[in-house]
Amino acid sequence: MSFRRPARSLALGLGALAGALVLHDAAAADPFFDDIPIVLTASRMAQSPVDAPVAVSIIDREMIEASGFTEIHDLLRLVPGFLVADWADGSPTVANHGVGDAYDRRIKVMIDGRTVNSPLFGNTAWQDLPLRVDDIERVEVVRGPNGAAYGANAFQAVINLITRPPSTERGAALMSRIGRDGFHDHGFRLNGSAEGAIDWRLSGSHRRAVNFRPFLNDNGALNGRETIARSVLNLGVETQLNTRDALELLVGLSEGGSERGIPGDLAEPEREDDTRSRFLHLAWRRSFAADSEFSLQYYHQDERVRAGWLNTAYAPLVIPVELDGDSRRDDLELQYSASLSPAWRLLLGAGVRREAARVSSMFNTGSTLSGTSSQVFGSVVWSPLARLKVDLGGTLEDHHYSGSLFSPRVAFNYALTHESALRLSAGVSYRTPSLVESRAEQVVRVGSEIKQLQLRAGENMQPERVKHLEIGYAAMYRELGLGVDVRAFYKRYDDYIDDQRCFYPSRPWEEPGSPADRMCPPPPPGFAPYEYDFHVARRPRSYLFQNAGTFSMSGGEFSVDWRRRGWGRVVLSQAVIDIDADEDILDRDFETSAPRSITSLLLIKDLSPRWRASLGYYHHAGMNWLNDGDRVPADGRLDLKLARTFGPAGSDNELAIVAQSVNGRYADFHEGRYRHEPALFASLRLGW
Amino acid sequence: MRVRLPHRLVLHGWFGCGLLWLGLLLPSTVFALEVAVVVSQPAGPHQAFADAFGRVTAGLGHRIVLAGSARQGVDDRVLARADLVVASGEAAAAAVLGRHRRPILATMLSREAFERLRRRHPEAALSAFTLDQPAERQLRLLRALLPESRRVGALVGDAGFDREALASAADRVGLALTTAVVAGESALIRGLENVLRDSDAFLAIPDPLLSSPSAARAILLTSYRFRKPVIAFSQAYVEAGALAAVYTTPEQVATEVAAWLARARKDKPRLPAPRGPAAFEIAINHQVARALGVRVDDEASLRRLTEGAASR
Repeated sequence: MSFRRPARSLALGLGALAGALVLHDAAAADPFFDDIPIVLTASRMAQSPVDAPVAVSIIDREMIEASGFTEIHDLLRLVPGFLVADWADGSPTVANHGVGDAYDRRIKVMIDGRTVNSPLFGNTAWQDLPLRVDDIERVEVVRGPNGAAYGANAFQAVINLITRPPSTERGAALMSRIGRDGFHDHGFRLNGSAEGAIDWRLSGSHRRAVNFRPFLNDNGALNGRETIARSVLNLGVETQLNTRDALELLVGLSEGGSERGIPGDLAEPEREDDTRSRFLHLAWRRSFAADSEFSLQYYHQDERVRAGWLNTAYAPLVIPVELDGDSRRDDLELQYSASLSPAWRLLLGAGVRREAARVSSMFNTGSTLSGTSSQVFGSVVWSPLARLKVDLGGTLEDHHYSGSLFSPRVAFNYALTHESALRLSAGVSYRTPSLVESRAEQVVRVGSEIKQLQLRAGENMQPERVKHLEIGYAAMYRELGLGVDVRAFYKRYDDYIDDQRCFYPSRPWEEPGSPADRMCPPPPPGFAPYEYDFHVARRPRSYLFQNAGTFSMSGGEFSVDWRRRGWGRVVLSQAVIDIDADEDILDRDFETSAPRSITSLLLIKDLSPRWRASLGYYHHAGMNWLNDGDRVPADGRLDLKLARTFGPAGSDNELAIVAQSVNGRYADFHEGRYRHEPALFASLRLGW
Repeated sequence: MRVRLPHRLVLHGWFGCGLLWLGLLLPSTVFALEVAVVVSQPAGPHQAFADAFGRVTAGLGHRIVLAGSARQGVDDRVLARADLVVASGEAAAAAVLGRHRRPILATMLSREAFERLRRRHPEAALSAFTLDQPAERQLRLLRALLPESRRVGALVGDAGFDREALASAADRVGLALTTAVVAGESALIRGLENVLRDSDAFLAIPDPLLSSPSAARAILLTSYRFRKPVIAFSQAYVEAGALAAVYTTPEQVATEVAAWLARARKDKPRLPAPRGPAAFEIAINHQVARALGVRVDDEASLRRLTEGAASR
């Protein structure tokens, strides 16, 4: 996207400001000549895929509702080339073009322009996002690296979750979903007074779902279960101060527990993890014209995890495993965009971000680790011909660990007709090591002794780099109700970061081996692994983050979106991917970490003005999830939804039945460990 | 109605212009009509109208005198002797109607505002050049931009609004109309949702209850939520996010009033029947057009297609 933050950043409402509102002076109102606030600016609207300098997909409200998905990460199944998986020991994970593991830290995720990736791992805690699916207006997905526009870490994709502006809703609504296995998801929405100068929405929900039951695999090993319960509360307030200025305040909270562990297991007994995630987001925007505005935003967010258990597998030793952690991010950013002339457009911005975390067990210190990074970014769009746009952009980031990084991009967009365009873009993007990747020294302590050393940061880690090139065709034939998007891409990855197993000597007095023997760096003082105490035959080990090699990825995608009023809609996409690893790659699974093909189909059929049926089918070829994941066979998942609206014409009332994975449970993330269970639930939505 | 004419003299060309300027210094006796111009406020579109009116009437042989503004006070001396008062904006007309019984031609106001003035002053010699575009013109622009559209939605704030006329205008253009009556902004969103669900586009009309900036903002945001383009009636609406609008500029209104004045009898000009604008401009928000995937033809063909309404 040519605009860096396609967030609908608008309007915060503070009581003190309300008195200053001068929007509507009925006595002097002149409908023909009064100024109207510029509401549909370029940053507020989704950029047409035909205009975009990179491949963009939009999941709109109709698709969200027809999909039957009740969790945000599932929506990404609708994006060409994307895969979604879940496992029992952590957050679900999303990958674009494979190379995915349990921590999806290469996809930047934003909610209304606020980056939500964890400062710790860099991944997205999808189930802890303080956001309900029902509040999402649309999801805009940049289907590839775009460091030039979004800075470091926009490495494999950028996902913008855009919530519905409170000013476009009124009244109240209740939503209730109840299904098998005690599944429930109850929510409410309440919108502020219409005549008031402040628009606001308060929404909340409580959800409980059994995601994984203990699974007994072919080897007789029992695997973990997961039941999650989350409460979410959100407040969005916006106010238009005058025709130019708007303020927005967003606050949210997600809190809950996850029941995890393996029944009867001594090493990983059943337990409950507690998580809490909060945010505060303030934004001010001044609009000068549809393509010219200034915005300033600040946000704070923090996450808290309380998790731990006692590992008694090596009795009489009792190993307390403790995963408690607190992290936070504060971010300030300003941005200015303008049209310099009909042929030139400009965007400039700067931001500063501070990330901090305190996780004693992860960093082997009780103190808080932090880092401050800053960035400047800009882009210029030049139209030398009416049909041609040249988009030059870049971000210069000063990262607290990786130093200065410059991510440039050039894109050419040539309009074949008013409705179709060819696109060519190339650039370089980076991903900086997360706090865990750059600073981890994960310890399990008993008293003053370190009994286990798990994740360890490597020395002098380089940022990951991807050089990317794509050629695409996008068309939107409005009269036919048809959108088409085709592209071919090539990406070259260097210094990819992966954690690899390394070893310590079998006996404390042995000489450490060489790195070629995959020996770990020297351990910190106090290292007395339980392997030594119990004379366990295997050597003590850690997982060491390191730059793990180079590989290239090529492939193609197409998507077709066709709709006809009264009939329905079909959204079909297909991706083919090939990964070619170089000799230096440390994990050969990389080559099979992307399925050869990924298919997604959403079929919406209007049966009558009141009845609508929809079908979602998501298929991928066999592949390997990396690290905690493993092979999963080729599989398809079929979801069905049947909905009926009722009540007065135009009301939002709906009764529906949703069946997910109707073709049975399937291997998810790790064939030997996890089975995704089918789900069946009824949903009711009532509006006033 | 009769207009007292002090003298007859028609002025032409440069000579006339010169005399007009001279006339500002001389007694009014050399001019055909003394026309007092009152504006609602001496700034913005009303001042633009007054300036343009001064320019385009320069050769007509009338004495054009600015007689103040509703905001800063009117010049009763000028108004008392004027043969005709041209008021720009509802407030200007209201300010004169309360004080002088001169023939008043109200301009730069909505038809609804004019009707309100007429109700309040049924005895006054009053007519108007209103700003309301014929619905058919707006709808033709809609068809020109969105040829595939079949249904258009609109909201009206007053149950008394002539929905039949709007529906038949839509019918003539080949569109089905869905309307809802919305009693005020509190019911706006619900009404919008009702009509947008079944429409290909939304027609914004200058209904006083639904034309406030905050209502316009809600209309634009909600229409965008439904990905439905808005066809509006002012340039500001287009700058704010409507796909397109037909509107008439103060300069065009001034030209139309001057054209009427030029044709009117110099001794006994009769106030014309109230009328809407003949001239209009088209504004397009290309940013919104791109975002909604709407192909915008060249301006000339859009104008040709939109003018179809006026020629009927």
